[in-house]
Amino acid sequence: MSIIESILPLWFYQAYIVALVVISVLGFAYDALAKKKLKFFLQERRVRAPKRSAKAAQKLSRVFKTVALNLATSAELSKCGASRRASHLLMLWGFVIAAISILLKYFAFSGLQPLAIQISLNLGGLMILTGALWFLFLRVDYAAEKSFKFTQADIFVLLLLVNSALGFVLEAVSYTGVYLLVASILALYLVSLSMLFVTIPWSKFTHVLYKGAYAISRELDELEGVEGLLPTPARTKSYGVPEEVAE
Amino acid sequence: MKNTKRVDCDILIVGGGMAGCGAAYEARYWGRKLKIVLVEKAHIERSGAVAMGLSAINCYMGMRWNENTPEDFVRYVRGDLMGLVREDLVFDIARHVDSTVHLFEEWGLPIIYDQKTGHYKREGRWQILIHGESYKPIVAEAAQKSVSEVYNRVMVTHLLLDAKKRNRIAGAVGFGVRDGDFYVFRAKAVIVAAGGATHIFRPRSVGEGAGRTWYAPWNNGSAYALLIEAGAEMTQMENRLVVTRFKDGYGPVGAWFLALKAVARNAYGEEYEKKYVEEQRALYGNYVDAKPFPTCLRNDAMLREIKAGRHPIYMHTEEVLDTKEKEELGWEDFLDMTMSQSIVWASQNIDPKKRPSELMMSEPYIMGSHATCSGAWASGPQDIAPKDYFWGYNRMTTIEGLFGAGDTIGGSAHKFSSGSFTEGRLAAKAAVKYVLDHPEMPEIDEAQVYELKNKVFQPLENYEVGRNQIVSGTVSPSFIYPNQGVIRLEKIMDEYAGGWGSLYTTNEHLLNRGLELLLMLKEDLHRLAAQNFHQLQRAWELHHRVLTAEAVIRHTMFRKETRWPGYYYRADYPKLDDQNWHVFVNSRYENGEWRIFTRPVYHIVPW
Amino acid sequence: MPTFVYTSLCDGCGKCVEICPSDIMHIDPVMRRAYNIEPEYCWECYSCVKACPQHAIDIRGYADFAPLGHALTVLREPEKGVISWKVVYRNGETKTFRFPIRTTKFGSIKPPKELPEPRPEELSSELLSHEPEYLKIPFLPKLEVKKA
Repeated sequence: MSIIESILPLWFYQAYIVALVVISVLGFAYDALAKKKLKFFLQERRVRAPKRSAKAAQKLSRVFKTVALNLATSAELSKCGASRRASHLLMLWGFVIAAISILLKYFAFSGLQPLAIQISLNLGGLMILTGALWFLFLRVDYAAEKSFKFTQADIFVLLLLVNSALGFVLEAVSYTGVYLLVASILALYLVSLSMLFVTIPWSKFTHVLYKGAYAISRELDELEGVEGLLPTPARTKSYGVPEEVAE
Repeated sequence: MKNTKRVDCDILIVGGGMAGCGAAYEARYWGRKLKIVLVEKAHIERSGAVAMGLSAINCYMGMRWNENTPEDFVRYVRGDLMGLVREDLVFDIARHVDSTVHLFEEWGLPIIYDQKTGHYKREGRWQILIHGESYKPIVAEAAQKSVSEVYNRVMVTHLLLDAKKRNRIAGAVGFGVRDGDFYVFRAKAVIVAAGGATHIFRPRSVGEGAGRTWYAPWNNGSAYALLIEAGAEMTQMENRLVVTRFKDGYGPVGAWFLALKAVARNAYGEEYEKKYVEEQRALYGNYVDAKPFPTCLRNDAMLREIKAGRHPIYMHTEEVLDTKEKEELGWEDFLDMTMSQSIVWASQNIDPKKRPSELMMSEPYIMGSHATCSGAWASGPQDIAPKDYFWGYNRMTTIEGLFGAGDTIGGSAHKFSSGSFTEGRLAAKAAVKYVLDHPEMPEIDEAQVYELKNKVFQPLENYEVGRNQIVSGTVSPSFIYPNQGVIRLEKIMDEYAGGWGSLYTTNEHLLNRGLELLLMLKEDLHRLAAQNFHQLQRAWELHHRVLTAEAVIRHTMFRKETRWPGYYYRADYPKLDDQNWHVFVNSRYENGEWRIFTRPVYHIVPW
Repeated sequence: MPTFVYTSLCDGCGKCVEICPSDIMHIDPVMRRAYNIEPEYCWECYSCVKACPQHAIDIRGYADFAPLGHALTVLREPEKGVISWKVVYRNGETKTFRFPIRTTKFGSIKPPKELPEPRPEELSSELLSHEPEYLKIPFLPKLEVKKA
């Protein structure tokens, strides 16, 4: 058993994780309700004019398809460049793998860390670390200006980076067995990890919900024949020759 | 302190618009082994006045089909500019422009054909219709494949003269708009193909709508200021351009008037364009007989109607859209080059098939490529130019090795896009010849470069230090922001130098007062503040605008007549005076002093 | 505001920042998505609108003179060589237009260095590249009458 599990009791870690979940829910709710984002979303959906109606089963199937083929693969980012998509996938799946690993560790394995969990936790952490670091060099200010000007929008990616890095530091330090050292790093880590969730109303964490909701919303619009903002793609007789000039 | 990047090359092209791209292509054709560098403050793919595209090419002779001769073109341009043009430069553009247009067609620009004749479909005598949304990307592709290197997002702020030979070009300096690096370009020849000037005079729309100037808001007169500062001789800076376009959106009227044959009438349904011919003849002489009727005189007629309160002036689109093809042509005219006019229709529920649309005269602009020809005084082509107009290399300014093309060159009106590209080609071939004749690299004055580096970044320093005086906000007693300076400039020029607010009218008293205020603004430029590199770009754009405006005021003061009514009026000299003023008004700015003088106008094509 | 960016669609890739001729499309510090920092310098040139891979940028006509409730959206398809525009009137009426944008593929222009090299003496003539062939008349026009 790792020295980490001996510093604080199991119930503490379990309660801490539950607290993080609660803070997340409150954070998302605050963001969506107090800033009236949910109201806006529902308002937009109310004025759509579907040309056909789809059965519930069709809609559900479309939702699953969107989640599995679009959101899970960050397909939307394919148009922005392969690097952007790749770094995003690393962060997304790294987070998912790390989160599931932690949940399993403390709720299924009572704080024990079987080899599989140890591997998945490290894998998740490494994916987040790599993805976030890569993304920091990809984002517009750095790519265009070679300057690391950090703004409010960078809170999420920076905290992902810091936490994944700190997680590895904690893990490394835990092998020393020095109680005071491990306890200090653990305290730092718990505070730092909390920041990731406490800052939800002010960071880009919430895009997880909104990008997903909007992607699903657009797919359902397409399913039900809601007219989009854009003109429909052109049919051409040959290159450079549109079939009809005006409609 | 910022990094300094040094770039040495044979030919430096400043500006990647139509003229710059023409220069790039031609320079590589003639100078296969030369290092050719193009520097552009935005991104070459969509930079310059043709960013959105164009629905017509307004300068095409059609010599292959015996449609026009270059002599015809000279007569047309001369008439439109009330007699004062550089006929050698105009002839030179006319005889070459057809090859430019045929090259564009080969590159992929869709030109519209007349199904009956098999010729290009004419919009008017000199104009042909195109599907021109991608005009700039196509031309930029050719330029990118020609030069050794394109520096996007680098704004050139000053030209450099040779340390030893004061009248020879040595290069240019500027800064990176994204990363703030300082650039020192050294070149054996420099071709300035930068933009003419908007936002010198107050525009008609003053909120967000200030962005909807007819000519691009990012054209800030660098073509003029860079050369004026370096001491090059300038010409016709008083010849500002006012255009009549669809109101507010400034959509084009060419296709409507020429191809669709729409008619403009005042609010009472009267045609007015030729209403005042005899009054105009008494004031401006027999130029009123030029065919077609000169652009400025058409403006003059409209202005008389507006002063008499007989506007809105309407373009009766509803009378000419009787077929689907005509409706598509009308819409495409806007969608290829001024989408904002379509937005005016959509937002105000105007269906052009059902109702007419308002026309209005714009605020004044300073350009060299349109129905106007402000710019540098340049040498013409050796085989045509009169002795006085030739000094060694075509399109070379009075500074050795410094060439110009497009809006940069004065006296050479009605070039438009194809003519500007053509002028770029002409300047580039001459520049290659110059480089081969003068292969030595010029010498940079390092002390001057050091001084310029500090000067270029001064606005950033002014902000960082000066902001400590005030809590927050935009009001400081010790600095102004670039946009505050632009607004002051626009007010000065509008009220004193004949902007739309003064009904385009000025006099010597107004000009003197305007100059006094302008010179104070010029002094205040030392106290411009920039919060970031974007604002630093705006700061230098303002510098260039102010210097251009100063040239405009001084030239306007010097010419004691009203040569181009409808562009501007000298209320104290309301008549055209061919006896005394059938000349070019030229200037040089050296050591902070202005010399204004005249040069003869030679007519080499018979009337 | 002339151009505006839909929050739900923008991914902050910066292609609009790269292309804007006016240098007014930049990245918002709170959302890390694009926005127009200076609408009074926006020409409504649509360069950013066409460049956006997510079609996240749209135009709202200048508040100085354009009432609300209109739209002009675009779908530029360079691989097909065409462009499509959709006009939406304030009164709800819509029109769609489609035009060619190019007759050759993007990237297909032959670089001038691949053309046969000009002879040295040609540098002194008045002929430009591709002349006189591309003038489609036998000779470059000369001026008949010249005044010194």
